[in-house]
Amino acid sequence: MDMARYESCYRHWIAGQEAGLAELEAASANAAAGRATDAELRTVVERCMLGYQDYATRRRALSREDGVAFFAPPWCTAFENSVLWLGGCRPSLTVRLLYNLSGEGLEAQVEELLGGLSNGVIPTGALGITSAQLVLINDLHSRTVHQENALSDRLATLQEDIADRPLLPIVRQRELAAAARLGAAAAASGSCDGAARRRLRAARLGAADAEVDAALDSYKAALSRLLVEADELRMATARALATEILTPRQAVEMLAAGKHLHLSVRDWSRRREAAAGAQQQLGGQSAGTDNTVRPST
Amino acid sequence: MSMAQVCCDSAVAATAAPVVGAEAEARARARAERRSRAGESGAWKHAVAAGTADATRKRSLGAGELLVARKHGAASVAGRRREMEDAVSVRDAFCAEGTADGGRRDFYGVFDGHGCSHVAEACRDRMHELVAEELAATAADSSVSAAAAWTVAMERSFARMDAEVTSAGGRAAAARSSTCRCDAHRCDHVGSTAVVAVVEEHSVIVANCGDSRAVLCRGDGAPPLPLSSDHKPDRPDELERIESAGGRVIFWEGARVLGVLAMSRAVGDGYLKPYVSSVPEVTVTDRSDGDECLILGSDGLWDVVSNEAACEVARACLRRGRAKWCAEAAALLTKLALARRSSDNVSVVVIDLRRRNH
Repeated sequence: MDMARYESCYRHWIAGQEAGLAELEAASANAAAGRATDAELRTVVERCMLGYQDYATRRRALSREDGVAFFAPPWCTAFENSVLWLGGCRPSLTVRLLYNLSGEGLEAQVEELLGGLSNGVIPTGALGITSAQLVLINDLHSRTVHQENALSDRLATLQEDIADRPLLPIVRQRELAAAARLGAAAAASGSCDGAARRRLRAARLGAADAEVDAALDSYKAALSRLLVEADELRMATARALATEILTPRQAVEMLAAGKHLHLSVRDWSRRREAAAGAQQQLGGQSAGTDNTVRPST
Repeated sequence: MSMAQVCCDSAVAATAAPVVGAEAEARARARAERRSRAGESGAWKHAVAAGTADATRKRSLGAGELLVARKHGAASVAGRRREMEDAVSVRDAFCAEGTADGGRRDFYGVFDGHGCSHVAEACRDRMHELVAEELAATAADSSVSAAAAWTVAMERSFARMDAEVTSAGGRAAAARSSTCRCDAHRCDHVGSTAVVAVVEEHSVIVANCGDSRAVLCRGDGAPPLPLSSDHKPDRPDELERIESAGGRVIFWEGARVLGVLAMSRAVGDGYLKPYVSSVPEVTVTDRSDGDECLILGSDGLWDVVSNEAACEVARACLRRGRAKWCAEAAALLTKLALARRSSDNVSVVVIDLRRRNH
């Protein structure tokens, strides 16, 4: 296990998110000013997709070493970890994001339509989602939720397996063996010996061995496979939206909004947790001060 | 089955004598089957170009088909929910039994499921068939008035639909549904609203059970005319009916039957019977020359868009004068509901009622 390399992979990803956001925002401004062609916007979108793919590829390699690290990464804040789904963003969140973006500006356009003030154009919101696109988005939403549920079910099964073989029989066998040895020791000494129990407990804790390692490694390997498949679903959902359903301009807007959301939540939660950490340290020092005063009395 | 269905306006054939009888019924069923298959194939394509999507869904008239199809548009999305429990049914010329003057009948339905999707899907697949059968049976009895005949036919259709979804056979069918995720012993906790409209040359008949809704847009700036009344447990007459039957309405994030269900009538929900009734309220409304359109929607739409706003949006789309205005209106109302943060599935059907287009 090399946590520094995993964190380095993550930092590289964050740097890519920030650079990608800047590029997308520039492309969006150019599009709004009529200075970007669809081909140019498509190139920007594809570069963004390749960034996601590169991150997924590097995570796949690292997760083979330790899949567990990516499910509760120590390099993220507790808040960030609370919204992770199988080590990353929940794919269906992308559809929710798109529904909210597509609603922006629609109310005002509908008011214009009702007032007869519009030039006869059907309101589509600032993003311009058409009826046909709405059908495709809804279909993708359905497929994505279905696949998410399948992966979530597999995680549930994996977690329940902790209470089954191969791990539980090992626990039960060792508990029985320890109890037997404790009984023998008690019989030999003619009484229940607290010291004997402590020695046996220490022996149990020190009994890491091939059987246990194999069981834990099996769990980690299964988590690693789930992470890879979850990353594939995240990629597939984002790619379907960005390159098959949305126009290049719409894709640029959606991808920029997604990166902006990710980076903002990360920054805000880091700031709050840093402040909370500082508060805890002050509390600790106060307690220390109290302890110092008490002996003088 | 695709979760989203945006039907483009049907092609309009030249006006000709409508064909009625078994042959017309067979063709109507074949068209429904083709539409269903087109929807299914669409569901598994990774992405479909807009033009292709239109082509796939547009109904083409065969050389021998002389039926005049009403323009309509439908949109149906999961929206902010992870599961899609709404279903929409559009069945042109669904009934071989025509009206007295030989006119056609078109069927439209919106079904908003709760607990699971299989009851709403069963309604989508079967309700129009049951209504057609009951109309044929009722037509044989000429002693009752038209309005009373419609009430009898609709009440029987809803009762049969309810029996189908709550019977052991219905549960077995649900178990085979690819989208049914509930455990066998919880199927009794699944139900659906049903707002059904039959459009004839001279009348619009609506049968409603639950809190989906049908609204008629009359012309000349007239206020919208609700053709259904939402079945909420705290509606005074519903509250009285429930309590007379020994049930209770408990307020928990709104009024709920036995503290569980936020509507007082539904198809299914076997374990809440008889408090949650499947008897529909039926209205028969004469059409007038100025009528513009009929809008059916689930509460994902009506919770955030008023009847007035919906009619204004539809009217504005109509004024643009485009052939596909019904589909545009349905999609726009759906997007407006999403923009107004509707948190439920959204389903909308818009039907062109203007006479001069037929």
